[in-house]
Amino acid sequence: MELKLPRLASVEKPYTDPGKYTIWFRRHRDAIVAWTFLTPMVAYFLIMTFVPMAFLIVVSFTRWNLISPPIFIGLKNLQVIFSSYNNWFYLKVIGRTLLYGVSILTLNVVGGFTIALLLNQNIRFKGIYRTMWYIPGVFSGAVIARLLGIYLQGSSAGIANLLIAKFGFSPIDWIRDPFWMPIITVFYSVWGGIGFPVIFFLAGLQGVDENLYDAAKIDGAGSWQLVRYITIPQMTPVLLFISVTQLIGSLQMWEIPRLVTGGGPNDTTYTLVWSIQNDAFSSLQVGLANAQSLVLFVMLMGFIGWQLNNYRKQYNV
Amino acid sequence: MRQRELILNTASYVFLTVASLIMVYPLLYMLLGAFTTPDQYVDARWLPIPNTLNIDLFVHAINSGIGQAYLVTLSRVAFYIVVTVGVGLIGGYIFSKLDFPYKNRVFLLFLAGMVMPGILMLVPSYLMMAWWPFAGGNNWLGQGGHGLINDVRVLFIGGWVPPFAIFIFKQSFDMLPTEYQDAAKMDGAGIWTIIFQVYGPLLKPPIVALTIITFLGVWNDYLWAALTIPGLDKYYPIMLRMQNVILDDFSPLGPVNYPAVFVKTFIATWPPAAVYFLLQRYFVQGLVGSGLKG
Repeated sequence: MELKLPRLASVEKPYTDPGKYTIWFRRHRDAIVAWTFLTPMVAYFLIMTFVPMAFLIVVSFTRWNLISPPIFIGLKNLQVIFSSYNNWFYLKVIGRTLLYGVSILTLNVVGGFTIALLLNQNIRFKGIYRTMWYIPGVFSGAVIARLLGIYLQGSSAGIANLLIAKFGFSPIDWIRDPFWMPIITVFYSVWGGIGFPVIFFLAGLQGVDENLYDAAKIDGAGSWQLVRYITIPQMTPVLLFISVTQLIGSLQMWEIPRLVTGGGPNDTTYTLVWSIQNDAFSSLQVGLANAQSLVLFVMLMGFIGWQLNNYRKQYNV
Repeated sequence: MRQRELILNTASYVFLTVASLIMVYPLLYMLLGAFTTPDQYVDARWLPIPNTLNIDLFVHAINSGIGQAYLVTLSRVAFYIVVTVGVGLIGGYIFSKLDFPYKNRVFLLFLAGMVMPGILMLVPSYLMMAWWPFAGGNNWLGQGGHGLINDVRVLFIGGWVPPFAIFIFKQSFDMLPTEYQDAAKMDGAGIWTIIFQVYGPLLKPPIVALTIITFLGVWNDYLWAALTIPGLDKYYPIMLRMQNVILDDFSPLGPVNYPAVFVKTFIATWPPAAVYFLLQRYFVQGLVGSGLKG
């Protein structure tokens, strides 16, 4: 007698032995999915990063004006950079860049930390203050630098001159003034950049354990001692992280020289990244420009490595 | 003691307020100056008081090429938001939820790409665009033509694999349980469904944060376009277009039509500011979360 099974049961597939390939496929499913997507991503990434990097190194050993073929000249470009050529021109550029970098770094970190400490008190409208500190960073460097150039117009109709005229000062030709222009350049960078450290420090300060302060207060610590012996040690990782990112960033400053001063007056705003752009695209000395990029890379290498190591620890890779 | 605290507190408020006002002063000046007449503007003591809405200035500014530049910039912004969020989500998922050979090494490669300052690659990337094979009259070796220089494609060719986004998303995926994925797999969900329909809706904060960061970055990008498409006026993005347009009303010595200058700057800068104001909570979270934890 034949047993009639309900229709539903036949829907289930009979067990068949999965083939060798199916088992292999199932076992390595993750790897197959991952590498299906990663292969094009890694390929693109390698091409867009390592091909330019190879260009950077190869071209820095040549003399090349983008038009006629490049000529191999060995280390001559580096010699030009580190020699008395043109009255130590390139060494001065490097020194000046370091000076700008350190000034901007110091103001951003010290200023940002102070602001964050003040904001971290029991203060109302914290959000509004934080917004006001960050908002200049949202506006574009390019347009604001151009606008600054217009504010600083040298005639008595310029905005900066209109303002100081109200205090009885006579107009200053800001952009051609080798005393004022470097100061303005530093403050412009701090103005646009200080919001980032403020946000980070504020987030870091909110993570400091309140109990530590309470314990120290019981021992009779004053507010300066609290900052010195609790806040700063607790904040060391954040302080280091911000200092390194800020230094890497501030050594790359180019907006003011490119858009406002052209490197003047008397080369006082002639920074390394502007020099790279200028040599590559205006005076068409691509080899020399690339050699300078290489120098900048070596200057930054320690900090980049530190940063990379930091991330490695954080992600356990 | 009480009195001392009060003084300190007041001092903090005063300092913070004055310093914050200095920060926003130039921007406020620009904003208010856009709505004044030139005479009123010169008479102003500290800030121009808005007394007019000169529509003509806005119309004139938009016709001077800003409208076209808006379109170019917005298409770049849209393109890069989709790419950053899409590729970032896929990459973040792969590194967080899958286990595969060479995982750490690939991750390290992307990390290295993230910490490398882009400015070092400026000149070599330009050369790469100029030597792009089979483009702009180039042969397969990349010689003979101008390559992708002065070609609009150059504005869309970089940054398809954003390490920064992959990291933020990896971190966010790490915080979500793997069980969701297992359950979805039981139901026969593929990788797309898992990423975009199972986890996607839970990742709103980092998605918004990256959208803002990408928006600000692309909107404010000036240098790349300035170097690679100098001769292609029609496709100037807004930041590059502004450089010329602002100067139309400016002469180094003569009188300047400041309200006209301010109107143009205002038109070019309000979108990022608006995006930041509306979504800054996400922005701050994303920024801080990306840098370091604890």
